[in-house]
Order: sequence, then C-alpha cells, then structure tokens
Amino acid sequence: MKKNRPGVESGKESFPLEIHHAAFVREGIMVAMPLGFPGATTAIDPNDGRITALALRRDDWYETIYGGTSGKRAHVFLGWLRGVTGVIVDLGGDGESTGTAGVASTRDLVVAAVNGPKGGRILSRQHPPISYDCIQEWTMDVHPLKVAGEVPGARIEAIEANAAGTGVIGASTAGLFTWSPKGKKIEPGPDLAVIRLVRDGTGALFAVSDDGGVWLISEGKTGVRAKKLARLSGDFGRATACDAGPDGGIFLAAVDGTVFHVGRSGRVRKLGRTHLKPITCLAAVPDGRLFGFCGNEISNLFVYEPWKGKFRDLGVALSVLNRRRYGYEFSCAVTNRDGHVLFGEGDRGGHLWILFPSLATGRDKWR
Amino acid sequence: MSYESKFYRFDGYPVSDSCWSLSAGPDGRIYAAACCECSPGKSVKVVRYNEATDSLDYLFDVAEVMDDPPDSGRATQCKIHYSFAASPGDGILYCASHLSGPPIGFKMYSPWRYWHDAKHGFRGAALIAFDTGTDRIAWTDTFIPREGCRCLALDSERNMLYAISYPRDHLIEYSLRERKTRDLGRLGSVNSQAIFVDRRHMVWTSNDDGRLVRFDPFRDVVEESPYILPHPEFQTGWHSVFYDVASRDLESFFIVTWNTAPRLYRLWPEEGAFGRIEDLGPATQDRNTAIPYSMFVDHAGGLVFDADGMLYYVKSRWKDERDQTDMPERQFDAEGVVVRINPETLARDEVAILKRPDAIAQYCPRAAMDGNGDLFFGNVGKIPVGFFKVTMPNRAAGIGIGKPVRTWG
Repeated sequence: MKKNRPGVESGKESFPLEIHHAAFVREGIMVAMPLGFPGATTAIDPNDGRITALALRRDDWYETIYGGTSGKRAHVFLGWLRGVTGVIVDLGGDGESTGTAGVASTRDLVVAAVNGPKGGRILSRQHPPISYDCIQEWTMDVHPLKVAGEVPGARIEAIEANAAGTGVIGASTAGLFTWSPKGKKIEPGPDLAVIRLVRDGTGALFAVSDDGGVWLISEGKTGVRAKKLARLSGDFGRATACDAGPDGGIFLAAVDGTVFHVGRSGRVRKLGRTHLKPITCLAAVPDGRLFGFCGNEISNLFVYEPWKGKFRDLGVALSVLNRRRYGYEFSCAVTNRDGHVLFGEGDRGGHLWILFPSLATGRDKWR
Repeated sequence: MSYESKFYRFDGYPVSDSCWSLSAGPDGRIYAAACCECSPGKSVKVVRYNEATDSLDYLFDVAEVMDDPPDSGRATQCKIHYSFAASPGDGILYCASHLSGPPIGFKMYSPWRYWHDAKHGFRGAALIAFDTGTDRIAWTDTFIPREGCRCLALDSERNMLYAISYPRDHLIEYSLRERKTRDLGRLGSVNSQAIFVDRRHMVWTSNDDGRLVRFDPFRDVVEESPYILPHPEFQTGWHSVFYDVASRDLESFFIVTWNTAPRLYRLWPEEGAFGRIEDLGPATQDRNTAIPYSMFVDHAGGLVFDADGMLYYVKSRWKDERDQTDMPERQFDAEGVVVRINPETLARDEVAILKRPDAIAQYCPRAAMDGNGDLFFGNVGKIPVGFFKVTMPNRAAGIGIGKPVRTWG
C-alpha cells in the first residue's frame, strides 16, 4: 500500500467511509463539462465523444479551447469558459473520419487533423467569434469545417501551428509535412516516424518518435528540418508528451510510467516513475508542477512536484460541481494561462475536465 | 388491506444483510439471494422457497462454486444484485455476482480505491448457470473481470446475456455460445438498476441523465434517447434511472425509477423512433422537497404481475419526515405497502402491508410470482433479512407458470 493513501488499511481510517471518499481527487477540484451548451443543447453523441485532442487559442483576455473527438465520427469542438460563456460548441467534422489526431490554432483558423477510411485529412475554418451573453441571449457561428488538405493512405499522428501562425506542421505515417491555407496543399517534409509534436514555452518545437527519439524542428523558408536531440531508453509506444512551461523543454512519458524532461540542448533528466502505468496525458502548470493520469480502466490523477522530486497519487477523477461524474480514462491535456489543467476524457460520452490545482501545495511551499 | 403476508427470514445464514435478487426460476419456484454486502469476508448464498416444507433451502454459496474464498483477502463474492435471469427453454437460472463486500479484516470496500490492487481488488463478477431441473451447477465463468454485475437480462433466442458493470457503468454483452464477454462501452456514472430485452431483441436500460439507452444488436450500436424520462418537477431527470421493470406481455413495460421521489411510467418500446413513454406519476407519497431524503426511505420497487395480469409494487410509507435520517438502526417509522395497479384503468389500491415480526419492512427491491400464483417480495432491512410471501386469493397449482417468465433480474 502507498503510504500517501490515507485510511487504506482496516482500523487505521478515521471513519469507514473515508475508504470510499478518499479514493477520489484529494487535492484541488475537478469539474466535468459535457460537450454541449448545458441547458440549451444536447451534447455530442456519446458514441462520438472520446476526446483525443486539445489546443488553446489565447487572444487578449479570453481563451478558446479547441478539441477533437474520436468514435463513430470525429467531431471538432470549441469551448469558452471566460466571459459570459461556459459552453462547448460542436463544430462538426467531415462526416467520414473517425478519429481526431490533433487540433491547432493558427492566426486566422482552427485546423484539425482527422483520420478515416481514406487516410488523413486537414479540416479548417475561420475562428468563430466569441458569442454574446450565454446567460441572456447568444449568437453562434456554426459554419462547418471544410476539407482543406489530404494525406491519402497515411494516418496523421499530430499537428502543431507553425511559428508564424500561418499554417501547421504535421506528422503522419508518411513523414513530416506542412500545410498552409494558401493553396491548401500538403507539402512533404523529412521522413521521420513522429507521433508527437510539442511546442514548449519558449516557442521551440519538438518531435517525438515511438522509439524514444526526440528532435528539434526548425521552420525556415526552405521548409522543415529536424535536428536529433536525444534517444531515450525504454518503450515509448504511443508516447505522451507535453510542454514544460516557460522554462522550456518537454516532458515525455515512457510506457512503464517513467517521466523524462528533455531540454532544448538535448539534456535528458529522468524524473521518476508514476505508481501506475501507462501515463495517458501530461500537463505542466506555471509553478513547475506536472499533472497527469496514469493507469488503465480507472486511471489515477497524479502530480509531480519538482521541489520534492517525487510523484504523488491524487486519486480517481471526480466531478460533483454541477455535473456529477466519475472520470476513468483521459487521453490529452493542456494548461490554460491561469494554471488550470484541461483534460480530455477519452471515454464514451467523454467530457472536458478542468482541474483547479491546490494552491496550498504549490510553489509557495517550494520557496 | 386483505392479503396476508408471511416473512421468511434467512435464519440459515444469519449474517445476511440484504436480499437484492428475488426471481421466479424457469421451474416456477422462487429463488432469492441471501447477500452479505456489509460484513467483511462473507459471501452470498442462493436460497429457494420450499413449498412442501414451507421453509427455505440453501442451495449454494457463490464463493464456493467459484473457488473465490471469502477469506482470501480480496473483495468478496458478496451478492447477486438484480442478476437472476431465468431461461425457460433449458431450465437454467443464470446468476451473476456483484461486489461491495469488504475483504476480511476491512471495514469497507471501494472498487475505485482498490482497482489496481492485486491483493484486495475484486476478482470479477461470476456467472453461474444453475440447472433447476437437476439442482446442479451446469457451468461457471468469470463474467466481468474486476467489476461487479449490477443487473442482468437474457435474450434466450439470440443466446446472449446483457449486463451493466459496476463501478465503470459499462454495457456488457455475453455470448452463451462462445462463453465470451464483449464490452459495449460506458453509459455514465449512475448504474441503472435494471436492463431488459424486448420482442425485437432490442436491449433497454437508462443513464444518469434520465435518458433511455437502447442497444440494437443488428446495427451494433448503443443509442441514447433524445428525450428525458418522466421525473418530478423539482428534479432535472438526473438519476432517474430504471430501478425495476415488469411486463406481462413484453409489449409494454412498467418501470419505476431509482431516485428519491421515484416515478412510475410505462414504456412501449415498439412505438415511435425511440419508444413511447406514458407517465404514471409518483410512486410514493408527497413530501417536503427541500429535504434530501434517504434513498432507503423514499423508495419503491418489487414490480410484479399476478396471474390475472394485475400489477403490484411496494412503496415505502413513512410517518415522520424528520425521523428518516436514522440509518444505522433502521428504526424510523415506516412500512412497506403493497400497491395494486390495474393496467387497463391505471387505478391503484393498497392491498397489503409487509410486516416483519422483528422490524419494519419498507424497502423491497424485487418481487416475483411463483407457479401457484403467490407473490414474493424481497426485503432489505434488519439483519438477517429475508423475503415475504403474499398468498393470493386466486392461487392454484400452475396458474403462475409462463405468464411470461421474467428473463431479467
């Protein structure tokens, strides 16, 4: 038994029900949002509701959350939590694709990479303007996404907006590629088997391959180039990676739950291992903590605190504010500018989950 | 109030704290589960009413049958929770087990907490095929690994079982031909307490939001209804999941919800794009809606048809709403009232009060009619629990057989 699990052994708990209640999120608060406008629309069909991609668009004072789902049909959605909003809006899909590999926000467009029977596709549309008051009276721009590029016969693994914000860089089973709205063409890049693309807090773009290879991607006028930074030991399968906040570098999780930090210089640090495997998503918050989920079927929220150099189990995800739901499977995460973590639930009928981390265990203790 | 009832306590298994499952077997006899969900290191025993001796026969212990000893240190095979399913064609009574009984030495069990604990975690719901003709276990299998089975239904023509798992709330299909489990995906967080199959082989249950859930095996798709099921005005429909379901003709199904202020309604599954619902109103009494009532007090269940096609259910009736929080002793002032409904006119009248000699008996989860037309009602309450027999005025040998056999728990 883990010592940080209170009341696990019989007779030591302060009251029997602690065994039950303390199984769930023990620090911070989690809230689950259905994929719809609560009280006004139905949510995205549960069969299509496994969230597999998330990205943020930061625009002055508000943020738009973009997401993509997988299931019988892939959907792209947006979420607004600031202002008089609190809604998730289904932007649809191409009607054929069944999975979303990534979403990205360029200067003018939301771009999604979806996969289906005909291979990978790029879908895009203009950023919808933020709605008027979603308590009083709202307006919604629900123009559909359009197919804006194709990678026939190949599966797209990931996309990220390019540094200029004019298009995206993608990774598919056919190699890296670039796409821009001008001409709507897919331009092939280096032939690398990349499964993750991550831009860190300093703007550097990293690529991760399934054999533990980490590459630094440069985006010049002559195209995309990849510089090998490191090869980590271990099985990386469908590796999970995330940005490391303003200090730069990325966190990368191996199949066995070991987490590494890879800096822009190629320096690799092994942080430790979570109590369960695999790690399905990771997100760093501004004070240096790292949150994520580990374990199959009923996963556990965990935190890594750099000032302690340790991982801690925080229990099973639970939402009891407004939406009452247990959270079992999570597949992606991003951190908003307030340091709240948005988790994409990769389960049938998935929800967008928001973690408000505990401030009491945050950086002040470190200082 | 004219019908007499008699209580049969599980004295042969005095630690039994709940009788969740009670069903008529394919042989027309009454089977019940003597469950042990609170005592650490105990298991469930299957009991049958013996008409000849007017007493109970203890048939088998699920832990023994499955070689999953209750003192192993794991969560126990502690109960059968709405998971008897009678198979009329071959005389089999299917039984699937559920979790929550603490491992020996523990005060409580949480499946969330011990999900990844190889030492204490639940091994999985057991599936037992009991041959009611020979009184032998025909075969067994691990039905749902690591999870419990909340409720069970049989599609005898397609040789399929359907179930809802706990705690993950997944819809489960089991092929009796292949002896193989298939996970059809998550439904929500609140387990529906009943699942059934209609004449067209559609599988019906419900979800947290109070929507119908239908599995179409021919299109292999799980669908949620666009509408929310009937619920009181002061609620939203959340938690209005199925609690108990009864049908006399498989054309329409009477359903009561699992929520405080439970609601009765009738579903006509073959009408409309997603069935047709007829709201029959509250199942229990009016009360102060500002009090979060205990689900042990404001409760209705035990839906069953008699041989003449009249519907019965048991509603809790309590006298002082401020007494309803006294859970540990279960000594608040309440009683279980058997209500009769005429399915044609929907007129209701009260025909009996379930009286235990040693305690109140307001909570009835399930009911069944035996081959003689007598009604039986399970009880959850003071330990040891048991069930009631209500002797019907029209009772006669064979009158209750095949009207129709209920193939869900």
